[in-house]
Amino acid sequence: MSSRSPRPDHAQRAAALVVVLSLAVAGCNQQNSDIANLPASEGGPQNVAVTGLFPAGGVPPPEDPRDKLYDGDAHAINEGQRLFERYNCVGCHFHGAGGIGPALLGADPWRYGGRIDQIFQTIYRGRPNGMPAWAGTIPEAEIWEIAAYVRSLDKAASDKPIPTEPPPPAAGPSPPSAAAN
Amino acid sequence: MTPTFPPVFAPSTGAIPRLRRALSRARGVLIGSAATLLLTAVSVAQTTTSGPPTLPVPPAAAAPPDDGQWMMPAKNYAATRYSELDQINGSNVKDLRVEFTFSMGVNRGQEAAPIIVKNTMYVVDAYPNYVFALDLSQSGAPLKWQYAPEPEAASQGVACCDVVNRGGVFFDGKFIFNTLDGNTIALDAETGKPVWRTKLADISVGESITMAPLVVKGKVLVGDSGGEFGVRGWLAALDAGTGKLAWKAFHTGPDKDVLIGSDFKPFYPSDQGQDLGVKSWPPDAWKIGGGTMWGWIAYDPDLNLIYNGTANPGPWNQEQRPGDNKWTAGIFARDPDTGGAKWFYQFNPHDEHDYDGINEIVLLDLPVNGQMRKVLLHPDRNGYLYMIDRVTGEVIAADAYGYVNSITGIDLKTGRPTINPDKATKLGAVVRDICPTASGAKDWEPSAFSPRTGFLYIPHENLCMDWENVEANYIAGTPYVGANVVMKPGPGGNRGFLTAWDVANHRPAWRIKEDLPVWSGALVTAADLVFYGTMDGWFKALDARTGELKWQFRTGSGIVGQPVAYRGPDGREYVAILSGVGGWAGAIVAGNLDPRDPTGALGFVGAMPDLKRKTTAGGMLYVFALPPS
Ligand code: HEC
Repeated sequence: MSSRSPRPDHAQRAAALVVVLSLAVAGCNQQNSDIANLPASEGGPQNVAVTGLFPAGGVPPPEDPRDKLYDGDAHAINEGQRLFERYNCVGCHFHGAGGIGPALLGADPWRYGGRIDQIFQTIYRGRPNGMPAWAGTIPEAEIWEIAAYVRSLDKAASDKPIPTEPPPPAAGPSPPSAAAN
Repeated sequence: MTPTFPPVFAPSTGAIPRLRRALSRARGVLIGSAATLLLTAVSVAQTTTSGPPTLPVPPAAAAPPDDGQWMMPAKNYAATRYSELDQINGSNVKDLRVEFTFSMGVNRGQEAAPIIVKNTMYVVDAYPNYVFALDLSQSGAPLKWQYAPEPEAASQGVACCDVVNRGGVFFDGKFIFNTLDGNTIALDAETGKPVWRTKLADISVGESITMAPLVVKGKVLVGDSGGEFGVRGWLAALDAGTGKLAWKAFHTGPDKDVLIGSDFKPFYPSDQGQDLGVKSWPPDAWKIGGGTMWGWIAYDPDLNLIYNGTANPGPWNQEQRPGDNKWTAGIFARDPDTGGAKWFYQFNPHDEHDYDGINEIVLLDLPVNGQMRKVLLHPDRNGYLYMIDRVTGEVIAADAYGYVNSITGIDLKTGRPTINPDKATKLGAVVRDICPTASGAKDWEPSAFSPRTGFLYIPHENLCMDWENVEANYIAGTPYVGANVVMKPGPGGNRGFLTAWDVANHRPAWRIKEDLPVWSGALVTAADLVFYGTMDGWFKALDARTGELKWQFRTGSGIVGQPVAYRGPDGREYVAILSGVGGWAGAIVAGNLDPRDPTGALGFVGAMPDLKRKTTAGGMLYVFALPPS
């Protein structure tokens, strides 16, 4: 009822992690379980560019192998949705429309990249114009799940029409205008 | 319960006193369509206007004669936003044309009032809060100097409702303003060089500053923003010469922090008692309970009192903070020398709907029941226009000026609103059609008062909302809200109003419906013209007595600024306004938000999906004048 502890409790966090990992192992193919067994890399995916410009014939860095483990994974997306609320992402991005932070539904083109490892890095390191850095606050496995959820938002929105009219007014009395407008 | 919406009356007096008396009994009560027809007929039939015996007037000490400058956003300490200039009038306003423009270089909500002193105009930008000084003595008003305060970029992450700034103030050769990242800065008005810079707010706990400072007796008054981040609200006073902190009064917590001492004499029993800023909260919740001060301050030199509102309690989810949540969503009278509190009144004890109390406060003297009273007017977010005795804090009257169903009335004996239980917010339940919205029947956009008409010109909104409480989780520096909100147009579908409120008679004289919320301030002049802007960019002049549209000009972007009038070095009257849509209502455009999720921007996106096809982002100063004769 009163103020909450600033961080989600560890037991729950650990439990979530176990669920994700066991599902990942049970539900995915051999290749994915190999990826899950990769040694944890501090700081998440290492080779992440936030630009599409690679001078002198350069090429984009390869995707992190973990991308495949989380991207589009229904369980990760589910967990990610819960964590998106729990860590107050929702307070700045709402349910994708954006507010303080930019829209995550596609109205605004990705500033820092929409690949899951790019989104991971956005969350992990923060971004200069007001996106907090969550390294050290959110465990890496959870960041992956949140990143999977963020990507799913964009995909889910793509078949929704964009409203261009306000919703119908609430019921109630409306006063007359007393002067011509 | 009976929903309330005040009827609209013709601005006449005298001609139809009996009808008026009869109708005044219906004040605050929905009138039937027959009565509406009758009233429309009356307002058409009425032709002559004879003033009532005594119109309300601002106290002379707080509203000195107009010298043609505009030194503080509200024009004067009484906050009338009334200009005595009358060159531009009802018959020549049709010739009003752009004299010069100036690009602010930033396409975000431009809420500031231009400040004009001698031959210079000063304007503050939205983040990153550039300050520009324009030389009015030269053709085209070239740039005299500019200053870049370089606020921390991360401060954009703690601005709840667009990265706005409500302007600066001129005092003693300095131009003083605030930055989003929480600094108050005084510049040498001649050179633009900083004289002092004082850091007041801490973005790492979610504090920022968006308000315009006010200088009273050599003290710069500044309050914080961040009510959606679990900050603890305050008002601070800095020495205008040095920038040193003179006092700081918190709006929650123990009496000593709130600067409540033996002088504190609130009118109503529910505000009397020790350490209510602690006791009216669950343990420790006051430490993250909001009550910020990002709006307006007025000052009465005769009484030596400043008046300021306090913003909403946090989190929005009221179930996490049982109690009255003092001293949020109310108004303080304080001694400007010491900060000591004199009285307090709470508009919304235990606010459930984000009804901040920081809207403008206009000081007036007028007869009430035959006796002259020193009052203040405050159109609150909750939809009621309060007339409060500014000596004692007694509520003299509280009238609904917009459609309200969350409150059924204000009990003048206890001062407390009567809450409609049907619109109480709940965990896990969507409560539909709560009116007004979190943003209120009006938000920050300030009204103007004309002593010639006795009308308060209120720019405001007509919006309702669906609201669901969810559990708010406190993580310092991130939002602490706990509500999913979706806004929608209010009854009738027009999302905005410009209402001319007949102060002495407690009712609207006329109103203009606007499609979009009116998020710009108002200005009224001695030639009986009211100026304001719309969110799709129209800058309008209305006849202050009838509301008739006399002139309009389409600016490049939606208007959410504060119009001002001044006398230029050439003796002509000028009217200035910033164009540049944004603020909470315009966040969908300023931040390019996605209307497929109506909860965006604390629910405002839901009500404004069409704004994206009605205007685009901008940032431009427009200055108008009549052609030289
Ligand atoms: C305090 C407000 C705030 C919180 C909390 C917040 N964000 Fe952000 N976010 C921002 C802002 C502001 C930006 C834009 C930063 C910039 O442009 O430099 C941003 C940017 C982003 C981006 C980059 C979008 C793009 O176009 O590339 C993503 C993805 C994102 N946030 C996801 C999240 C997630 C997930 C969380 C929760 C773990 C979160 N944010 C929490 C404010 C916030």
